[in-house]
Amino acid sequence: MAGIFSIFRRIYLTIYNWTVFIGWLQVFYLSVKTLKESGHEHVYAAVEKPLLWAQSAAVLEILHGLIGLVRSPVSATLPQISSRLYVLWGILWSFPEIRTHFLVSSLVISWSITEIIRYSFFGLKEAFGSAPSWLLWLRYSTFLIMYPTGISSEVGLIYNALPFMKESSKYSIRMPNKWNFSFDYYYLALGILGVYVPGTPHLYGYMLGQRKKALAKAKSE
Amino acid sequence: MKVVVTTRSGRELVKGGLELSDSATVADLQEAIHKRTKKYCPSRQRLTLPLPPGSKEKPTVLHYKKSLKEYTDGNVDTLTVVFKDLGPQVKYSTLFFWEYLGPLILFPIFYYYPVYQFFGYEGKRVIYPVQTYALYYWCFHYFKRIMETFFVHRFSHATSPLSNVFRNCAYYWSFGAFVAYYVNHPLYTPVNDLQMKIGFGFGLLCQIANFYCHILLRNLRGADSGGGYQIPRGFLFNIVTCANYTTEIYQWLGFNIATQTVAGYIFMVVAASIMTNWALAKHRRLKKLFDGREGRPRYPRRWVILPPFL
Repeated sequence: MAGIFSIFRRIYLTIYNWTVFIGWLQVFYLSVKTLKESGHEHVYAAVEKPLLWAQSAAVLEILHGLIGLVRSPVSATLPQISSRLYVLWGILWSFPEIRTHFLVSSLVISWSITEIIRYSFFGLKEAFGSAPSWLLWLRYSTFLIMYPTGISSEVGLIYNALPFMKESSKYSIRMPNKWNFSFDYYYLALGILGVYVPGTPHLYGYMLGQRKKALAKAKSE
Repeated sequence: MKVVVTTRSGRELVKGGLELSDSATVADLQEAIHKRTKKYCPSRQRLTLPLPPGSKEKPTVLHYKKSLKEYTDGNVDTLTVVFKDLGPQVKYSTLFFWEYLGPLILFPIFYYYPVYQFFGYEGKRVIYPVQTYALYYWCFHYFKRIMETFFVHRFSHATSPLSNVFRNCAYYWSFGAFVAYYVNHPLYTPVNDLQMKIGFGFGLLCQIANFYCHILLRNLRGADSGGGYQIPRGFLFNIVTCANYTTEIYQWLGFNIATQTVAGYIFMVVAASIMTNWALAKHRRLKKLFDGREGRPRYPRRWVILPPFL
């Protein structure tokens, strides 16, 4: 019985990984094309649909971890996916004024390169049992550049959206109200920016450790 | 007898070992180790019997009240113990005092002092009766907790790691400020009079019940039994294992019914989940200990913490 489940699991994960791969491939292609032809102000509009779909689909990965379909710990995937969804839905989609900023281009290019490599890596592993060593190398090396560029873009976009948050009071709850509660989206954003300060070196250090382990293992095989 | 004290990595902590009388207790051994090592006071020492390498069993922890003879299996001359440093320790009463002091001081600060001007609210504020009663209720609650810490509770362990002071104070003081901020807010909206009376009345009843639960628990733990467990009985303990946590959670419910803040409810839910973790562990421990075999009573069927849910 276990055999048939593992076959379904492999088919499902293969389809999942390659589908999302195609989404990110579109994001990359459209962002570079639009950047060259029309300029950075138009990049968001061009990539919006595949970007929203491909990034939001990552929520499934939390589910996969929870039900044990994949081995990655939820504690590692949850913060990563949450920050992506926050920047995508909470900043870019919510505050149209920010969409024309040049950091949007660096953001989607950093994200899409990382994800193209990641999803093809897992797609090959699920489908064929293993992935080529050059892809493994890419997966554990491109972050050295993509993390700084991606994270700077995220921080920059959140920071540039702050005045629009303050002015519009979007997603904020003011007092008085019968539940005596208040919530300020602006201050939440400041808090999140604060978390990036210790979070970034921690994450980068973790990835460096993972790189060492993965490349040493590959060398010995 | 001779006692050899090693660290977990195999090194001898006390060179040459220690010489103790055959009738010595573990407490005597801890004192002797403290005399030789200066740095490790008895409450920092965790002494266990050595396990064969690769063994998956949990090591036997030496209890301070027992005599060393109980841990030597036949070989009366030498006993080897493994030492672990638990880090700097504080008394439980010290830990609790600092945890509770924060909320006790913070709430009145938000009530009496013009702190809201720093949040951008100028001008005079109207104070509703419910906010004044909330101040009394909240401060009474934490004053009661401090009094119970010094006069009622009997602790299973004498000490707790120092790091817990920072962790626990962060929890209590942050939530204290969080709730106090909203209950004393200049734009606070009170509930109707009846709801307030029901909330505070129910809460007070639960606090009294909670106090009685603490008295019952204290009497379970005789001054000399040294941490031996007994089946809790009497009052609400007949139907729920951790009646003390039950009454604590319900008294917060009473406070929240009266004051109606999202912050207060969040605090209650977080506190309830922490207590539920403790309650599950305690319930499991009691059921395991009182299994009905070898003359031991069997632990009766009871709710864990919150009838009718758990």
